Amino acid sequence: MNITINTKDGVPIYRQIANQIRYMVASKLLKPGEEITAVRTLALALNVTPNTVVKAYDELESSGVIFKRRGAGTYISDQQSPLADRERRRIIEARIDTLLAEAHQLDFNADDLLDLIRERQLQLGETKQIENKGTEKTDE
Amino acid sequence: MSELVVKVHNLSRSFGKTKALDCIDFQASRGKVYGLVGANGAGKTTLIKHLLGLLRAKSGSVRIFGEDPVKQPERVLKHIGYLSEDRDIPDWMSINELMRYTSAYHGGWDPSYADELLDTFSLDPTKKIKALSRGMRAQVALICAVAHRPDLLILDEPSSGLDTVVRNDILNAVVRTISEDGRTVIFSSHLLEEVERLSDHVTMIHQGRVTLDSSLEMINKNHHYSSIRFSERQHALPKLEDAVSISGEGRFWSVIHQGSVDSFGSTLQNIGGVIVESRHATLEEVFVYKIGREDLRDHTQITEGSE
Amino acid sequence: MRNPSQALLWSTFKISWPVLLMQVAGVITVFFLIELALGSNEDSLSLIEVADGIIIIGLIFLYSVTLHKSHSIARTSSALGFPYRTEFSFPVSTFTLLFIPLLYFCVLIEAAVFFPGMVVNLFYFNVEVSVLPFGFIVFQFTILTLMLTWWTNSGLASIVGWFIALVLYLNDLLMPDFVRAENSWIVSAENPADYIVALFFTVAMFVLTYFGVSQQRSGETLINFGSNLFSSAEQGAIRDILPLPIAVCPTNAPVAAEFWKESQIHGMYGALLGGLAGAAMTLAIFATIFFFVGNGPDPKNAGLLALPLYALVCVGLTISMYGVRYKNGTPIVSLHDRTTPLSTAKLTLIRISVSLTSALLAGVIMYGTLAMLGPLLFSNFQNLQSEFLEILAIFSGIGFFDLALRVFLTLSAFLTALLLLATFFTWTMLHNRLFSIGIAFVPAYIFLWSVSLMGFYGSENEGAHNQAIDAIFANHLWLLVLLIPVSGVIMLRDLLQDQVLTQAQMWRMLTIGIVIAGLNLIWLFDADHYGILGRDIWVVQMSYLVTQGLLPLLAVILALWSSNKIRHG
Repeated sequence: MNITINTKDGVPIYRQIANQIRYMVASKLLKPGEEITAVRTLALALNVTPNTVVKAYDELESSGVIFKRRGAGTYISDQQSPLADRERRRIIEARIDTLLAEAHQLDFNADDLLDLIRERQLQLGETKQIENKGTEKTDE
Repeated sequence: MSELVVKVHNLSRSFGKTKALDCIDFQASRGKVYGLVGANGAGKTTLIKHLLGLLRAKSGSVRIFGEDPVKQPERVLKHIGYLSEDRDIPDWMSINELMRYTSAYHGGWDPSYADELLDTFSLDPTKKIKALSRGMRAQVALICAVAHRPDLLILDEPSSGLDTVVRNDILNAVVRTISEDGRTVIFSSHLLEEVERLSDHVTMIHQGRVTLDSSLEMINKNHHYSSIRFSERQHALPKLEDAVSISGEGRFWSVIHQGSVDSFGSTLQNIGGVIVESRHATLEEVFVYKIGREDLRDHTQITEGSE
Repeated sequence: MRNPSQALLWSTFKISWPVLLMQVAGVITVFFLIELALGSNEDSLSLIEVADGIIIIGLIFLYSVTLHKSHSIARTSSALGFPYRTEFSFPVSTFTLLFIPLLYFCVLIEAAVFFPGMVVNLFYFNVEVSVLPFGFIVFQFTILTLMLTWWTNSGLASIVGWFIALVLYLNDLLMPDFVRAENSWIVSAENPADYIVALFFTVAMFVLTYFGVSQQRSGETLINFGSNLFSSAEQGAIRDILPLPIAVCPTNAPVAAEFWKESQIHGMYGALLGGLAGAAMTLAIFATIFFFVGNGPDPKNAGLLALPLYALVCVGLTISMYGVRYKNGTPIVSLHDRTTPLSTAKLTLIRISVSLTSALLAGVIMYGTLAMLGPLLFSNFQNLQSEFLEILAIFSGIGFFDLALRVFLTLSAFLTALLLLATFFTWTMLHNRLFSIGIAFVPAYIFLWSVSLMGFYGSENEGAHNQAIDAIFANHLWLLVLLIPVSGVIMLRDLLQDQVLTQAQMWRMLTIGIVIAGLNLIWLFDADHYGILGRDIWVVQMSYLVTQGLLPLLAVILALWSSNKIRHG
């Protein structure tokens, strides 16, 4: 698992770990049934106290993202769909909130914002087509 | 109720006219990590010395594992691994000799663990202590403190004066020790980042007094850093009840405040402000705020509410 | 190492073995010399007394070095107090911490005395070296010195402790009254029950020391008043003790500023304090002896008795002449000193002049105070003044030039000795192991030479050992005669190479040095004084006496060379 800790932005470390694991589950980097790093190993890798990792894992367990098999490691839960959806939605919502706040500050209203989104989407889509043509790769 | 490994009650200590500790209460439960935070000279080392019996409690009491470390040095120190602030190890010995010497005192010395750590730190065991660099010296002192798997590990500024690489190594070795069951760790540091990484519980000491004593979780919950926007330019903000650190200009301000974000938000509404973004305050920000408040208190005698 | 006791023994051994080696070698040599003295059938008794004196002074010296070395494992800046401080945070009882090293030192030093004694007994049947009483003396001396140094951090408390020990000693409570059988080395206690009394008081002192060490373990000092004044060996602490005006540092020239700094550390005030303290201590000791023994020390010997204390004062004032001091158990030269923008030569000369002047001044103050207050306090000192005037009369009959010469040469000899000692001590501090072994080598060397030459001349031959000693003496004196100029030249070459001195400066220095040597020659050859030509002495002795005049020059060259080495490595 590729997790990074940032102590500067005020988010508690256990929350950062939990969030990143959630993100990886939501973006299918971690698959249901897959075993995740043991508490101690992760703590050593991140240079944080194991209690923090324990707290993160506890939170994930109570919200059903992971489960512990007694004496045999920790695994991603199978029943991810509703949670995955909820998690994905939560992540995007957070981004949107920030975007809206900034837009408000810079005097863009919601309609302007939607137009801009479509515009950017088109541009990015074109760029992608040009790229694909250039490398002659088949798109997924 | 987990067992109390350390119980300090009403401890005060003066050196001449200077009051190093002022009615300190401190407790440590088994299995947790305690970070002692404070500026240089705040009293951290003095407190730690009391825990080891290197200073006698002239006013107040100190109990480690239920015993007085001054009266029972042998019994108490057996369970303690200590890393002193000035890495107080004999210069004339070689690393090997020092480890053998230390192991003679402390039962439970694990030679394979010690060797493992020597390997991780890439230390040559035949080298004399006086030939070691500062970082290596700290590493050796740390090995001597942890290799006998003590129940209580006391580290005084474990990574001060060390470069990043060595600091990382040492932190890692400490994490390793922490992750063993039932071990309690007390460490002092003025590097807040590492305190945030390692501690379950944070105690802040400022000029000999405890200014903050709570779990890291609670500190995070209680302190926020919010960005505010006003509809009109402000020259100065009025005194906001929970706000304790204010900066900014014109329409955009940032505030560090206690209590919940919502309650602060409603306070703001009354003066025409809105929270744009809010996050938990970092330990550093809380620390600076606390120090500021303390100095302010000394000057203007504002009585502070309880945390 | 399985347990704390073993670990402590190992640690103490590793720290102290070079010095103990020195001690053992010294003791063996002394015993051998005693044997020679006895075998020679000359004035055996006085030789025995000389041997006594040698042993005691030797033991004092060696003990102080042992103690100092045992303190090099300490992490306190002060030389006082219990040295095993790292172990304070280890799970070991205070009793073990105190008892094991004490036992170690006592047993080892005891063995150093016991075995040569047995050897002498075995090989020379006509001499019986009575080991038990002598062993007891050595044991008591060791354990008491160690305890009196270890029990407290505070200099003032330590002094009080030594006085109490002195009082007990004078009342025969710490050591039995020993008597010596006629014309022999056999010493025994007058009353054997005294051993029990002495042991009792020793145990009492042990209990007190234990209390003192546990106090130190928990950060306390037993007697607190004045502790921070006297216990600190910090630089510049002296000027904080006396409430006298402090001169402002001059800013016009580096030399002046450095001079100011040195003076603050061990200048005028140091001399004043040292001199007065020395005098006070001497008077206190006399008073104590007077009180308990009845008629006090003979004033003629008063000056001599005060000498060890004056020596201590001198050591205190000159020991940091090169800026070397102990910090956390290791000798260091501060980087601040080493990077100061002043030439090594100027730095050294400033330091030497301040330290030596200080020592001299301290001596004047100390002996002057003794001379003034002594007669006031002790009745048998009354005659001192007239005797002193008699001594002065020796000087009055001679011409001005002769007087000046005598004073000058005495002064130069004294200062040279001080300088050489300070340099020697500094080097011992920096290369302790090397020097301890080297010093231990000297008695061993003498021993081997004596034995082989004795064999050569045949020990039955009456005058054999005399011839042996003379031969050793002659050969080695030549060594010294050659060593002085040769080492001087080598060091000068180094100094020129490192540009510590310019050629011009070197010639100036050589000129002054040779002038002094010339004055020495005048004194030697002047029939009114030493009258070297009229005397029946060997060529080698004469050569040595002549070369001796070069010692002041050599001392300065050595000082410069040492300073350079210490500064730049």
